[in-house]
Amino acid sequence: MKRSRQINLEQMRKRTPAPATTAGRMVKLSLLLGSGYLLTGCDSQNAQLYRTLSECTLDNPLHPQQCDYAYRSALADWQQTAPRYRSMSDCAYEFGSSSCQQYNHYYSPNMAGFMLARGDDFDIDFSKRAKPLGLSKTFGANNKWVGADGTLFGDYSRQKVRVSGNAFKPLKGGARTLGRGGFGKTIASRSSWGG
Amino acid sequence: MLRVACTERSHWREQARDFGFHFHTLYGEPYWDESAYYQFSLDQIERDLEAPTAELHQMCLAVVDRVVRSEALLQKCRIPEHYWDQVATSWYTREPSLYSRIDLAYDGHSPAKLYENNADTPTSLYETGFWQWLWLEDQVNAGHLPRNADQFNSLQERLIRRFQALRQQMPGHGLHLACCKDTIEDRGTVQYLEDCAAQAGITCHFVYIDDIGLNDQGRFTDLQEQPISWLFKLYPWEFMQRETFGPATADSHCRFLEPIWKSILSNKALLPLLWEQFPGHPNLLPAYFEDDPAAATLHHCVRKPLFSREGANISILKDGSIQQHSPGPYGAEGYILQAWHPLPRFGHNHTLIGSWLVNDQPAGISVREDHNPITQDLSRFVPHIIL
Repeated sequence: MKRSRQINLEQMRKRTPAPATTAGRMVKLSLLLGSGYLLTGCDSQNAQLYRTLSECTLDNPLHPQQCDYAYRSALADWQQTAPRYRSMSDCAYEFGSSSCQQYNHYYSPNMAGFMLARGDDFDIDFSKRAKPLGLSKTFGANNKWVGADGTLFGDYSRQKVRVSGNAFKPLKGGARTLGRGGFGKTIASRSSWGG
Repeated sequence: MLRVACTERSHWREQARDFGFHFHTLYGEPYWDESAYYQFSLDQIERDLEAPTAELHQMCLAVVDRVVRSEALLQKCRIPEHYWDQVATSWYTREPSLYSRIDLAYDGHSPAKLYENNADTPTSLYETGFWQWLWLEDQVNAGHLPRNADQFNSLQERLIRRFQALRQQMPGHGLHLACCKDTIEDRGTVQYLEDCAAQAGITCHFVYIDDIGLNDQGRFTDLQEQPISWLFKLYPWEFMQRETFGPATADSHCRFLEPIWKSILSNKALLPLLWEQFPGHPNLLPAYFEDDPAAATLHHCVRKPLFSREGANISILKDGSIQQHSPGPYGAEGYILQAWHPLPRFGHNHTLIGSWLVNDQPAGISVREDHNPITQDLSRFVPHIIL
């Protein structure tokens, strides 16, 4: 036999509506709402901002290794979570052209510093993971510390800030669609092309 | 190989509505035509079509293997330099493929000749894999065709099995399927693949190719902002490579069907490269790049753009003068010349065989007819039997 032995005709029929398959999406949505409630705690937290690794080691001469680790983990997180732009000008609009770099197929700003939590005794709490920050140059938020998700943390000149308790929560790397319509343009200019 | 006139099934239009076959009539002209069928012997199918299809496919893969190792040949194929590494890596890692269709000129006795390879975005899949199968079932059950009538068409069965195998390689990932807006045939083809994938246990999502987004993680997204990790795209790589999102395909963490190495096969540069590598092969026609001095040896030939579909921008040349020309938007990337080898005629019809492969296995044929020697997208689809 050179042909398909069996074809399930019922599965090929289109007139009887298929059972709704939106259940999966609904579940995801409600999970998101749930975690949203958890985020709305309102305790606050003292924090220290460093622009460079050496600022940290000068400030904390007893903890050069912790500073080094904090810096490197912040840098790694920044590379994961920093906003990405399709053009240099889009990146420069928000971060200034001198701090934007081209990667393979996108542009992304450099890390401008990192934030560490301070305990009640005003010592740095190195047990909390450092948060990487960029330097915003955008209109209305010029020279402000900004997190990878766009949260502002005050003037670049400030080194001590009070932030909300969840400011140190690691970002998952927000997925924001930058644009659509990057495929499908050729077809508009050609009449037919199917194979 | 015979063309046999037969009576249409009285209920087929109704049945087409039931099964969602919406493009059986295009621009007021019949596309699906069951007023006749082609009859082949088993020998003709197995010896003249199935075996050469498998062999031609292996020869094509040998060309791919040669092209990815040569910058000069990648250049000849007009693959933008930016993608050379991506194409080569895709080939070296044997990124899995789903299906192909090669077009053959076959008259029932002389060797089938390869016209071209639609390896990237072949259409007329649903009509082949499902609709003509259903036609045979009906005709046999109604007693109009004998019980032992068969068809070279295991397409649907093989597609489902192939999807089952691919599913093992993409555990936990759904498959997105995409085509352009406003083409009812493409939407039908993609719907059919979605049906086959779903029967293989794959979760499917549809998105129009124009609606695909790119997020700040470098990943493609659908309209629900879900990242796309596995995409069947009924949209040619040669377009994608030249569009805005093209460069993003490399780091998108998305696996494509067909894979990008197929951009070497769906390219008419394949034809001269095949002839160069397998000169005199009985299933090949002499073919040359237009700028190759050897092209002068072809006195009667067909001039085809490197990138062209559905018979667009094709000219028939004889001793330097154009005998016939089909209009179209292609040709900017250059041309190849292929020796003139007319399609066989059955009555007033010029008949073209589409021979399908799922992965690298021959899977069936489609037969299309045209009143014109250059078959176009409106060529009629006629069913076939083996007897």
